[in-house]
Amino acid sequence: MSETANNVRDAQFAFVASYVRQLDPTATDAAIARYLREIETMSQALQLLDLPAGTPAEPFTVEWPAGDRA
Amino acid sequence: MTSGILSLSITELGAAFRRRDLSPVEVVEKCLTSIRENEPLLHAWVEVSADSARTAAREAEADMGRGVDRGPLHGVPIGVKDIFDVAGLPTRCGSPARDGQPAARTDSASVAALRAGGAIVLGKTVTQEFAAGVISPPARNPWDPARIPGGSSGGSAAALAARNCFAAMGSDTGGSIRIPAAACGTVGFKPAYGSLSAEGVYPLSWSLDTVGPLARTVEDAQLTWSCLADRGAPPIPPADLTGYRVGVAEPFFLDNVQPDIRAAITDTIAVLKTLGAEVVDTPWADAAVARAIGFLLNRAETAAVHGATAREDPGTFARFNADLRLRVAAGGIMPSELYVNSMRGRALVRDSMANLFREHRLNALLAPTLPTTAVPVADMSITGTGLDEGIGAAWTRLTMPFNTTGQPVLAMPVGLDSLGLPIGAQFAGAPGREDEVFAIGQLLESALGFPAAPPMLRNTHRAEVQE
Repeated sequence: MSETANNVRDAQFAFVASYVRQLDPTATDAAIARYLREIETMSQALQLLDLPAGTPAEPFTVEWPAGDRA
Repeated sequence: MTSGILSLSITELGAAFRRRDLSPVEVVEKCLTSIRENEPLLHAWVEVSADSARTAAREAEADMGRGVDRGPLHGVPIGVKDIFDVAGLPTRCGSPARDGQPAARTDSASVAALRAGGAIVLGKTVTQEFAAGVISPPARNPWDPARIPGGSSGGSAAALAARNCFAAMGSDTGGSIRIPAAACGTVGFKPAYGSLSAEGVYPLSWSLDTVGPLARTVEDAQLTWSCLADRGAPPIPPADLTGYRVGVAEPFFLDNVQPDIRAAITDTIAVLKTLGAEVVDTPWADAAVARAIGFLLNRAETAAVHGATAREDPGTFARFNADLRLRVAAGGIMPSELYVNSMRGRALVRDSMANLFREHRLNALLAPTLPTTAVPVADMSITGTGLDEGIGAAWTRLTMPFNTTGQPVLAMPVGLDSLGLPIGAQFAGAPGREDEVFAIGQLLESALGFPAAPPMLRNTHRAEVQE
């Protein structure tokens, strides 16, 4: 991991921990770190998706599309 | 084969009502007795409305005496997860923060539909707090009361497996119908997202929340879903599965599961083939992405549901459990990029599932429901699968992808592990083609000989159960 990425991760932990403790003073460093690890893991998985730049955030419907797209 | 009134299927119970061999009054009393006997061990119920259930049973009996037939659920006792509004009862959502909540004035849409179909509400079943989790304390698993029933609809599954009721309502945001169904050896059906109204149900994550039935047999689940969806009588299933194609998506769905579970899926595939189905390998490249999208949407939206409470009502927020407090507090500042990209990617993932079905001409996709069988209450980490995961992440790993795609999924028991605990499989289907997964499930259930009764039931209900 690059120095920048490490610095971002440290800053994120400090920010999240500070914010969380405003709402829940009992939250532990270990629990916050575990939460952020889960988010990071899922974020990495999300990056595996080939998401074309023009893809909008559409309201979700369950129906399967007909035609070439499906 | 185990029989007895409380082990009858809904179809068998209805037939006995119509022959006047049984009355709803008698059956409700047996359910109430069963609840009284099991509750000290199982803690599956939040509140039992014995008086109103008895009143409803007398009304059903009188209706039947006059020749009124409200359908397959007429006179059938059910349980309702305690995030659904039931008129006259508070909706506590499994949370001390909801203590003192006034009684709901009206039924949720699901409960109203079931009551219109003649079902009798016995009471409210235990849920994980605000439906956010897979443990459902204090409920326990009828197959081994030292183990969790799964969640968040854990009370519904435990009550069903213990023969306290004949069907129960659950909700499924990341697997919360299918997970307890698998852990407790019952059937669960997650309908297609948006196909049933969630009105009067406390939200967990709006874009994923789905309500649906748990039952002991596939046919019972289909009958209950048909009532909820106002679909009329289900079609008669085919004689065999000739012409059906079932996909198995490996890798991902068979990775990092207990060996007994992999073996049960292999056995299930063999049985499907003997029934005439073609089983084909259908790797789905987007499974891990689908799981991630569901996870991230869920985290962000749960924070949105409870964010105002966290900021503006600290006394109430302090009564949430510690995991939920963290989820709400930290979720409130989750990077918006993750939420937006999850929304952007979701339709692509749905379409890739549609492509998979089209390309392989599938009727269903088969996967294990859980990577493990029910774990002891104290085991909050799962380590027997080759991964070191928290139980929440582990037990939603195989279910959440289908919440992201939104497709309908039938979960059902397919075997027992070496400890005698139920193993669950799920059949994901195509939206609008729900009858196909029910047909597969009914024929498979028949071939496998489920539903089996938990050991505690075989002991405590000896007087009731006849061999």
